[in-house]
Amino acid sequence: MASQQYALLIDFEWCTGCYSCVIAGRNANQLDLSRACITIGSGLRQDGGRVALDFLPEPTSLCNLCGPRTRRGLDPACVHHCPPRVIRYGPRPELEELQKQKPNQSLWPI
Amino acid sequence: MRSVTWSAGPGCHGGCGVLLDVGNGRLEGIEGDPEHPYNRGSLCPRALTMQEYTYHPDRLLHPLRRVGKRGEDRWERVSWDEVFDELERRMAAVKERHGPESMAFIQGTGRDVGAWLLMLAYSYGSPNWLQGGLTGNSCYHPRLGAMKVVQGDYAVPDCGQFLPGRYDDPDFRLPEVIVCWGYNPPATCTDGFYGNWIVDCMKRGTKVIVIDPYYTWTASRAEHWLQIRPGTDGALALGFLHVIIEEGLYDKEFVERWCSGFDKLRQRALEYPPSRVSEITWVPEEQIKAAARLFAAAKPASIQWGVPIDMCPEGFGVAMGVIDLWAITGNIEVPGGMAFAKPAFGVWPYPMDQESVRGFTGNVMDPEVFFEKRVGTKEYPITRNFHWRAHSDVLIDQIFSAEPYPIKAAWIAGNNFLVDGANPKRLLEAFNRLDLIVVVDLFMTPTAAALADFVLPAATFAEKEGVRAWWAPLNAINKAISVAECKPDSEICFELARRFNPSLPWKSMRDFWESLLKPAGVTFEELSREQFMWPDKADKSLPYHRYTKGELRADGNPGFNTPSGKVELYSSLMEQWGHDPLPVFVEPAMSPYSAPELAEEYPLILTTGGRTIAFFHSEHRQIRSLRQIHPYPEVMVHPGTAGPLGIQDGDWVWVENHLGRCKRKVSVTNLIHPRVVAASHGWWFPEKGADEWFGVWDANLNLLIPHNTQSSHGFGGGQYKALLCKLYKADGGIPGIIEKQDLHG
Repeated sequence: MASQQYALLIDFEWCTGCYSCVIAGRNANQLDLSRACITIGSGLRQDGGRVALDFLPEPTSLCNLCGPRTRRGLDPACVHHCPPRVIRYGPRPELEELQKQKPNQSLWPI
Repeated sequence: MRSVTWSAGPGCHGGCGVLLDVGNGRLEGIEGDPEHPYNRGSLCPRALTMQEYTYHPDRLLHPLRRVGKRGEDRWERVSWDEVFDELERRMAAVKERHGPESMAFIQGTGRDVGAWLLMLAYSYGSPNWLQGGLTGNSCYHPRLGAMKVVQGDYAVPDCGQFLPGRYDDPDFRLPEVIVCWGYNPPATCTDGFYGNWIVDCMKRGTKVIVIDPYYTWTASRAEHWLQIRPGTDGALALGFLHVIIEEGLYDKEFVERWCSGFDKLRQRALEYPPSRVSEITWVPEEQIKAAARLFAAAKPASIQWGVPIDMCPEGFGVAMGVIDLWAITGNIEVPGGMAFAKPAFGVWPYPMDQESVRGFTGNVMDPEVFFEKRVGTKEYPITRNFHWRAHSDVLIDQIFSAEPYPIKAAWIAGNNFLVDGANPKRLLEAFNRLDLIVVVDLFMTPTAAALADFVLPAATFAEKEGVRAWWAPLNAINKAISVAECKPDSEICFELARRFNPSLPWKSMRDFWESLLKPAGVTFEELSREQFMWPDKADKSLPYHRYTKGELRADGNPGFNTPSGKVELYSSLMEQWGHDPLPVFVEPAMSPYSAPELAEEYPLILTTGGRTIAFFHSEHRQIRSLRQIHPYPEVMVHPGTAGPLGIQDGDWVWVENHLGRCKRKVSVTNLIHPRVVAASHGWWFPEKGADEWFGVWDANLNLLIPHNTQSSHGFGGGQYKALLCKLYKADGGIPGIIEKQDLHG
């Protein structure tokens, strides 16, 4: 139940699609190449007069919010290593509030 | 253990703070160091796969001596003692017979190799230290040269990297505009600049102008995307200057007080009205004007640039045009503008100019030797007057001509020029003429497999002690682990340098670090404990406004470190050396306009060298986690171009011109101009085995790239970005390479 209250909030407007989250997550969870706890999709978005090329990180069913790390006071591996800092970890209600403050964010209760 | 990345491992020039988790002498994990101001905890995929890299089964673990014929892939293991003794003997024989200058010391890009190679070369007695295979020395050096002659120092966009508090530091100002000129921030961290700093600024409100032949993620978030025709950057810079000068948008006070040659620059820019520039560059006229106005109005603004500038014809002169843009808009040395980059505390762990060269040699060589005998000084005076390395193209010519003296041996460290050098089959032919070739690397590469007589195993950053100050803060590289018999380049070069020059002023590398760190007033041990240190904000190794305070010139007078003390928009040094003192545009030699007959047969413009965060140049193709991100050597083709050729997404094609051909897998995308195709560089296939030289020619675009295309003064012009080609469907892919599905198992 406790894990239900936490989530990841991903600001995909600034995700550059670098795959750091994928590799960092694999390292943290000791996953082989066939598996990943977060993946990166892509999409197009109308943004005013231009088309934004978006990368869309999506936690998979293997995401455990890096329990072993967060219990030690660390951020989940993807949050810690994301170069443009687009992944946020926290209590779900707090992240829901943050999500309202800026468009182009996706919330992932785990 | 806290350390900092530089070179082998992630491969790049970057300096990310890391926490290395070591257990039983083995690297068990890597984390970004949240305390380190450079990356603040984040890491790229290459740094994150450090364990996979360090313990990869293909890693070179022991020194090897060739036993078969060159290129046959037959080796025997030898000890370090044996290899040092034998190299000392054989190098001494070359020296005795042909003179020390007949051995060339070749590095790749700017990594923690350059200083040690220099130390070895000069201790041995050779002035021929260079980046081999890079035609026109076309990577940053033309831009460095241009910055030196115009403004006296090297400048980088200020993203708060010189301040401990970064973006929150009270002295920092957010740039209103950053121009990404032939540079895609998320894909690469060039020359000590962390690409994501630009994304950090964008998130905080900085607008970007992107100049790129294809629509990148960054372009899709830009205020203006200028889809330039490859190789025409010089015209665009002059077009921007035209708009800014004629509309009076420049910083009149700065120009009047601190610049010279403005009227002559104006005359040159007048030749490039936006209408003409639009015809040349294919960028719409209104967009040129709008981008120029946005840049000029922004206070502060900066420009981050990439190698496409160097690789334009007369790349040095193209860079001068870009520099003039940030100069006349008053963006030099202002917070959030273009900061002069100097190593923290004045500690130089990498030779960045002729003056700093002496710090690595202990003045072992008579200046007359390095000025007179350095390859290229006669052909290209800049090689003597500004530059501190031998000239790459002239060296290859000299291997064939043996004039004015023969080249007989080469030391090649971290350079895979059969994959990344222009016209690589000629490089193979040239180097095969040498009597002795030593390659130092971490993996067997095509270049090592084909050419080496000795292969020496180098160390990753985690396996070495060192110092990094490119630019601030000052960092200790702390040794965390050892792997088999791998040694850092510094130790390898030092051992031989010591043997050739018994009067080398240092007894060990540790001794060298202590002497290097003197300006910072710390011992290596102290720095090692702190891991990184900041100079005081008032230290003259840090910005801002140093030209007003007399901190840039040796004479202590206010002004810039140029002959006149001004920003020389009309360069007196270039004039004195007999070159064009103003920014230039020259049409690429292989284009639909300059070579219409060739273009009939090869109608598409080919631009190469597209970067990805997964690989550093030709490295990392064996790291499966990274290969999974980019499994194939691709070529980007517009659907309107692919359709009539009967080519579909995922097809294998031949990319061909009159010089050669290679195979690529097509990515059909409307992000690219219909008349341009674009491809990444550095492809070889470690999975194919050393006996086949790892498929070095299969996907090698350099087969289509000519050599000796350097500019009139030797710097810039490597023709990697603007070529002609045609595409046609291939019968199949490349046999024996890893397929995408193999990487998911």
